[in-house]
Amino acid sequence: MSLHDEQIVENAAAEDLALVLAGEYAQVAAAVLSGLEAEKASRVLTLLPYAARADILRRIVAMRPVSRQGLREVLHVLAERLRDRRGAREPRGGAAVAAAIARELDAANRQELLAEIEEAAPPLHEELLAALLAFDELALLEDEHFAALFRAVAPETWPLALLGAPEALRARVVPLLDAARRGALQGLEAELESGAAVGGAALRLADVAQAREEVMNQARRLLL
Amino acid sequence: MSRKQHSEYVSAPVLESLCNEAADLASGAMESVLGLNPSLAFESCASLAFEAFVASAGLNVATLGFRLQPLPRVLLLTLDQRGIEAVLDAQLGGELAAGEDIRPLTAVDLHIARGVLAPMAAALAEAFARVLPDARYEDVFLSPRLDLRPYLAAQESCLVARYAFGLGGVWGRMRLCLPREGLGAIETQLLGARLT
Repeated sequence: MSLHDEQIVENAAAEDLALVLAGEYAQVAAAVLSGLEAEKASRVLTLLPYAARADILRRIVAMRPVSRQGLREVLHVLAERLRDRRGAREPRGGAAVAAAIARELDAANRQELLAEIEEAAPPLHEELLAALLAFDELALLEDEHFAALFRAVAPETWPLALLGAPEALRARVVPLLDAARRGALQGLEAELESGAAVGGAALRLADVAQAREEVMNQARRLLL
Repeated sequence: MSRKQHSEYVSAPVLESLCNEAADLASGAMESVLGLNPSLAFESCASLAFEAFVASAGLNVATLGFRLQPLPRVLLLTLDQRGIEAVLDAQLGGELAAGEDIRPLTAVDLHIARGVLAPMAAALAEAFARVLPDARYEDVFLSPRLDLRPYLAAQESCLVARYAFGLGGVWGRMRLCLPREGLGAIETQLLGARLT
């Protein structure tokens, strides 16, 4: 029974596991993640609410011996919820569902279909693109893809695109920036924090959006 | 309505003795269910309107509704988030330093709460056998919230017992709500004539 529950939790998709753990007490998430392969635990952690991540990681650092009986009970409940999620999958539409299907296609087929949808229904094409790859998810790219994306984007675009970006993405991009771009990013952040002139701040938000759009255009060109 | 109407402390030696006895019995039972040895200490009894009980317990508490046959009404036992998290910390290697964040209780929280509340309800049945021969305990519902359910009206008078539930220096609260209607002869035994 419990071994099966453990396997269900271990084999669950990171997205499902993150959804199931999202509302739980942080110690529950810490205990579950500490039992997963590091790569998967890292992916689940990245999908959990930003505000909870540091607390969960801190609890893993400070974790004392775990009661096998207690952990079995918790895994049993989580496995039940994961089974419920699988059983509840009824036919439904939406950009997220279409994106999940499109991700499974090979690149040539996917690009062909996307081009057709773009021609027939531009708003739906936009919606589908956003669901296929979001800016916040760029931090999850594999190293090879990430390096290609970094090179494809103009260096002066990155500091603006990183303003207010998730920490995980900043942590991957900043070490790759040259000193001048890092300085530019720090300058922009200091300016934003000090409450720059209202007109300047409004202009900057538009600049940030445009810079991110440029990054996403490259990401879609390379990855979709 | 005045505060006095809703917070009359009860001087009821028999009720207090039964509540104490149930706490002792439940502590042992929880050890076998949870693998932990929590402290469960009876603190006080009061006579409250149901809505005042809800206000004191808070809405965000795990609530076990149960019957003590042959009493006709549903009794309520609640455990707060801090008590549940103390159990989770103790079982899952946490630091036993309760947080302050209030969050909706989950299926895991409810499972843990059942491990605390069900032995307590069974222990209450055992203890109440002194005034209620053949008392039998039966679960009715387990909820992640304390709602103003149809079982009890807002103004209904209840006897409320409060317990401190502790693990490793973290203390949560458990509360028992016993509707007075239907207690009949055993109310006299529980309270005697001394309602102060």
